[in-house]
Amino acid sequence: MSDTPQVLRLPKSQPVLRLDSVVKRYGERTVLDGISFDVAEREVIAVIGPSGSGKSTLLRTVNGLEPIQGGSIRLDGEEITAKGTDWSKIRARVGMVFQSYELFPHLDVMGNLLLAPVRVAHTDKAEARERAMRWLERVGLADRADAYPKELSGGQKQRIAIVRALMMQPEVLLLDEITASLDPEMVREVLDVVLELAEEGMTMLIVTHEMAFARAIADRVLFLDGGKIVEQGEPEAFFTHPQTERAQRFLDTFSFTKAREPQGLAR
Amino acid sequence: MHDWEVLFQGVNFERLLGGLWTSFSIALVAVLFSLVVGVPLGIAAASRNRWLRGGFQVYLQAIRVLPPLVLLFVFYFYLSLVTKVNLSAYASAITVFTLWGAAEMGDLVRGAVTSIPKHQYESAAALGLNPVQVQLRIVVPQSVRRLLPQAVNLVTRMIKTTSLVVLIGVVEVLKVGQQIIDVNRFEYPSAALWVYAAVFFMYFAVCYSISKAAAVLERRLA
Ligand SMILES: Nc1ncnc2c1ncn2[C@@H]1O[C@H](COP(=O)(O)OP(=O)(O)OP(=O)(O)O)[C@@H](O)[C@H]1O
Ligand SMILES: [Mg+2]
Repeated sequence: MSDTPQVLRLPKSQPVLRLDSVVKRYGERTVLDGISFDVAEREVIAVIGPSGSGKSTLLRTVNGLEPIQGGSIRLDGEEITAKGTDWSKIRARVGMVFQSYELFPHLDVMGNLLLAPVRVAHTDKAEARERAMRWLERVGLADRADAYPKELSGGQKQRIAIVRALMMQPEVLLLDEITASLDPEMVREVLDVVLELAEEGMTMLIVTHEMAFARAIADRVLFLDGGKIVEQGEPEAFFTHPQTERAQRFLDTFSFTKAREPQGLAR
Repeated sequence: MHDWEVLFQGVNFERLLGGLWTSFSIALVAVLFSLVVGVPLGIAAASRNRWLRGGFQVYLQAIRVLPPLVLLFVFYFYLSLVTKVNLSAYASAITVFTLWGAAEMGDLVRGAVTSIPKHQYESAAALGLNPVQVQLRIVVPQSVRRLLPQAVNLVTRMIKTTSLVVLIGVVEVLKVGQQIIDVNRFEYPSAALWVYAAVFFMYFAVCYSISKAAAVLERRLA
């Protein structure tokens, strides 16, 4: 195991992330309405909720893609929503993977992986390349280092996008519906990578519509509706006995009851 | 003697080449100026500022509705009438082609830059690249790839259109051709055919080589 890359672990007494009464507005419209929660080191939090409830916006505020209008966000105790934050520096510590796996089409896989470590973290190129190869081996794509994004399947692209974020050795990883635009048969290969990261103690904030996955991976589930955390708890408890009616209704939309009785070959 | 031999009589062929060079040099200088002016113009036109965007559209549409020939006449004949500025035919030609090229090049740059999806910017930013790095490492290389085929198309159009400058008296390839034809009209009646064929092949050779070179370049970049 010593030659496989590991997730960075640091002993910490304070939460990696602390959101305090975060408010996000688009004009008159309040999209995040006083969101507060902590993310402990090595914790995996699944964020679920109906479409438009503010899940993506929540992740985007954490790495400054969306400025907030109220409250604060702290990374390792340092307020990153304060004026004068150098977001480039923060984003190098907070990895993010999007639904639409935007690899850079003009760079091959290795080019995609090396860009930030070399240009932002100023890692030695040979060292970064070695790290990249080890990650590629781990996700089973070592032979595609020279491929261009257009030559890869959706599942492969998304695994590369995850590795690209991991190349910066982030303290926390934000995943926004990373399997939502994949063909069903490719979902598994991507989720397996994330499951492995969780086992190794990667701190993650995961927005997903895959309820079985959320249940399997999360230490805690946040249920968002209308820009508020309506309910949160352990996944087993949340998925079997949601406390709020809204959560119950949301979960119901994922299950099907038999629409009609089995029809025998009656004659 | 065959009529086609007119082409190689005396210094005729050199004169044709010289004419081709005149029109080609107008195009070359204008293309260079168009790049220098058009690229920043296009980047400005892609900005969020609506005055910049609007101003550029007015300029672009004005250039598009006016035929290059009209612009040539305006700059060569009328400019000296209304102002003290008296441009030579060569300078007027370069001015007009630059005005035209910068507008079209600006529009191509604007199109290329705005066609890069928002997510490309965000992915790059999310990795910690600063705004300058995002432009340099992500936006510029992708824009250039999208731009290249259309830019080459524009350049060949500009070269072809420079044949119009004969009308304001710049001696260029068509003009030379006509002079050769006029001199030989009676002795070699079909000389005109050969001269125009030669001119055709000269334009073809230049534009075709540019397209070919661009195709190679494009494959390199892809
Ligand atoms: N740039 C924007 N301008 C205005 N409103 C926006 C903008 N981005 C998002 N919104 C609004 O904010 C709300 C929350 O959007 P968000 O994308 O965070 O939802 P979501 O929970 O991620 O939904 P989904 O499950 O569909 O991805 C939505 O109502 C959306 O219309
Ligand atoms: Mg979303």
